[in-house]
Amino acid sequence: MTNTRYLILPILTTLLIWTLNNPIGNLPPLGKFLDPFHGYLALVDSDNINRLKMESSYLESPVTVIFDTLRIPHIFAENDMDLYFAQGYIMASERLWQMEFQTHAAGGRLSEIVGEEALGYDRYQRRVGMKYGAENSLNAILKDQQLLPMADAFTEGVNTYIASLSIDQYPLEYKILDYAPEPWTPLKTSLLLKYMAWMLTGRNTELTYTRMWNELGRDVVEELFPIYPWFVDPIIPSGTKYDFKPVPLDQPPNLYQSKADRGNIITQKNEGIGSNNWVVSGNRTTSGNAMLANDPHLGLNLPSIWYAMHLVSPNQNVMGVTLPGTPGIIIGFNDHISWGLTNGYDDVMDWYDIQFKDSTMTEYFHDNKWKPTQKIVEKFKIKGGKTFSDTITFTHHGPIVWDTPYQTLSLGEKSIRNSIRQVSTGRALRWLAHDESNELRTFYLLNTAENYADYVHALEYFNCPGQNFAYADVEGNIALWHAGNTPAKWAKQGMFISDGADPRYDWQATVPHHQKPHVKNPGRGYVGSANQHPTTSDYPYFLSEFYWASFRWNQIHTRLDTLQSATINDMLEIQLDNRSVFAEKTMPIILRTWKNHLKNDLEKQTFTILSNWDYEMNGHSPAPTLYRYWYGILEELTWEDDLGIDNERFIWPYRDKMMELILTNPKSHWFDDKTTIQIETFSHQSLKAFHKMVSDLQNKYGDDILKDWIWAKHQGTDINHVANIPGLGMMGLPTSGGSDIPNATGTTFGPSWRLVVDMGEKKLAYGIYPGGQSGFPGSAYYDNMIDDWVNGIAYPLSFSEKASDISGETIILGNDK
Amino acid sequence: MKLILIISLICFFGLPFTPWWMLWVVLGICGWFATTPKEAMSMGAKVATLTWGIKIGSEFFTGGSILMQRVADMMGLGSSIGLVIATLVLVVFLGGLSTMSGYQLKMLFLPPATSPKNM
Repeated sequence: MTNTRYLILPILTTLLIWTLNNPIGNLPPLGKFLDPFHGYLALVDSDNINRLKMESSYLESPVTVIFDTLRIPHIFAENDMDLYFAQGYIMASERLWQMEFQTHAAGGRLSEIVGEEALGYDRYQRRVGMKYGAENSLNAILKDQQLLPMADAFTEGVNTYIASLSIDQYPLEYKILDYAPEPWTPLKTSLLLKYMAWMLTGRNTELTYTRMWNELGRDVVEELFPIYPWFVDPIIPSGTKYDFKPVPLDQPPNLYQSKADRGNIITQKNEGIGSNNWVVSGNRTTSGNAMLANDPHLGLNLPSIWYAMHLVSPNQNVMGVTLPGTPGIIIGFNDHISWGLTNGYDDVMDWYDIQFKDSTMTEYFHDNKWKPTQKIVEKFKIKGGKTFSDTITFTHHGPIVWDTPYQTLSLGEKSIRNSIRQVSTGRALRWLAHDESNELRTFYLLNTAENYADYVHALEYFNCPGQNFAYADVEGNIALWHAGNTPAKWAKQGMFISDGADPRYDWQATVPHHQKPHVKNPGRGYVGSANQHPTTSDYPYFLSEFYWASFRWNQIHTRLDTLQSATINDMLEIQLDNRSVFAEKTMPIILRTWKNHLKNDLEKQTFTILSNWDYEMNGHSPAPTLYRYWYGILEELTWEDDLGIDNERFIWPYRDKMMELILTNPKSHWFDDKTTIQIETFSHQSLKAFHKMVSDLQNKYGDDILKDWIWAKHQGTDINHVANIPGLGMMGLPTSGGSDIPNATGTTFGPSWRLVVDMGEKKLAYGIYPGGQSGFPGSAYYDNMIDDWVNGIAYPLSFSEKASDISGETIILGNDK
Repeated sequence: MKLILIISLICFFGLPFTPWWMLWVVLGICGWFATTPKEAMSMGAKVATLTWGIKIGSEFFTGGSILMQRVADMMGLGSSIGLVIATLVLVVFLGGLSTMSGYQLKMLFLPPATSPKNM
């Protein structure tokens, strides 16, 4: 019996080793992970390009891949199938984990990786129809005889790379999260495109506007959130004639007013999602060639959302960036044309009140008939072996996203709150991204386009997310199309919660391609977009109740107007323009409200700094901190007494509304604080905000304004890892810029890719994104471009149809037939 | 010391082909042959440290420094040196425990008369 004591240590040791072999909470299995033979250190060689040399029976001919000094792969293939195979293979070698993780996130499969805490998020992804939409779009790809082989070749390339990996070689994040890659499928590519569609079109305000209508009146909604605000500088130049006969629409005489106030998590503002693009014709450039500039503003992460590539086959010679997991190039240029994207912001997501026959939700009322619903059971695998089933009810409008209030809040409440824009309980969601669509075809046609007609034809296939496609070509043409399969809506259709029983609220038609807002070779010699209104109110269709204020475009417009012989450097400088139009227009008035009320030296210094401010949101200056902090307090003082806390029951109006009030109606009742007896005006609130701003910032940063209150410290930029793994991101970057200015850089968002192209016979192109080509955190190319991105530097891009013109490290992918 | 070097070399070249926990099994077997607990502990700690330490060092100097810094940041250890120290502390501990476990099992299965008196 006494000998049993000798068992204690072996048992404890075995238990310890077992524990170190398994993940604990969010920690990786430490023993396996730290083991230098099989753990993270087994990946040291994965930065070596030569390991990618291979032979495959899939290839018809050898493919040459040259990695340049930025590690951009230039792929030279003898045919398109070999090209896309190599693209998938090379892309996976750099970004495999990111590609797969994002598709898991999009398709509601994160609980397979991180466990039950992600189940709420996963259920939401499935319930809004991400997987449903991706499967529908996959059908379009499967039916496309030209695109299907391309998607298959890409898939084969990715899977060839996955098959080449031993367990020890799985990318770092697989080791941290303790799972393994699975084979790639075209459905995953489709899911990635839906992920982008969600990011770019998932913003909607029906619930909050309907509430506001019910509680404050429709006139208040229309006053605070006008369709065409006071300050609009549209994409399609004013004065453009819309000379066509619009599709006839059956409009109800009175707008349906939903009374049911269900759901109480409402809109997230997502302030940073936007972009700039513009094109300048050759008669305004030094080179005489048309030029294109594009900088899409998205959430910033590592690995970066973009992957730069150069693809060459007898059918194409195209360069630019693509989403890891997507074949072809999404933003870029070829021998003949260049194109760049900004988000279109058309409202393609509407919510419908549904009248069910009974609580079984098997029939609903529509067009004076009871119609059957469709039930789809979604199954979830949860890490650890558990499973979960969720039944989703579908109407012809779309899925009932939440059946009952707070249905899943016990299952991942935090993750739900972080991921959604609006929950409208018991209502059906109509979302354009649910429809069968083939955006890949658009990009393939753009990649191979030779002229304006090809470009216009390519955009016919683009469904969702609606984008502004700027265009410049070697013939000197410039153009911009507001593309996407936008529903043709009558005025204010979908602005409020719609009547799901009345067919007049259904999307009755789509805007015919030739009637979409577009312009070619405008007289002023340039055109561009910054997520502002595409048109003036003359345009016959209602496209959206929301576009971003025209501040960014107005500044770009002003800069372009002054350039008679623009250069590439001018284009790059405009992308970095930090001037705040809002501050420029309002600051003189604001300063007048403070001038005679300065209480101490700190307030005097603050006043002096802002009096001398050039309205540039530079990182080294304290002025942007003062101005933006003051503005935040002004917003609170103006709106909170009327509308409550922002984004709780209601959202607060946007900056363009505030500018209108400051400039045209400083005695507006909105400035009055209803909780006090006296009547406040803008002057009162501006001064009150000023005193509070100085006091707050002093408490936060001390007395040294010039050193400690600077904008880069106050705002700065954090680039987190995609899965928020600590240590794998870059924090506290000293950036300039801000929302509503051309250099729209914020704490977590910013220009995700800066591209400028001069469209001469020989292309001059510059580009950069905040990250690096490699997705491997142990690579020098994981984040090598970030410092230069912060400093506003862009790199020249090597572009040629001949491999001999590109210098770098070369590997050959051979065929082993 | 010679024995420790030989065992370390065998482990170093054998471990790439076995699961990560095989080292601790091997050290457990080695512990069986130790004559004192001190010898067992010392052998385990030294073999484990040599085997992992040499591998970690070689990876650090052949391109692993960035990765080690990232992992150190992820684990809140500050620097790659901190990560190396933390790893080696774990290794010393596990190595010593493994050989001691082997030694204890010998105590269990061998007749008491043959066991060392200090046990």
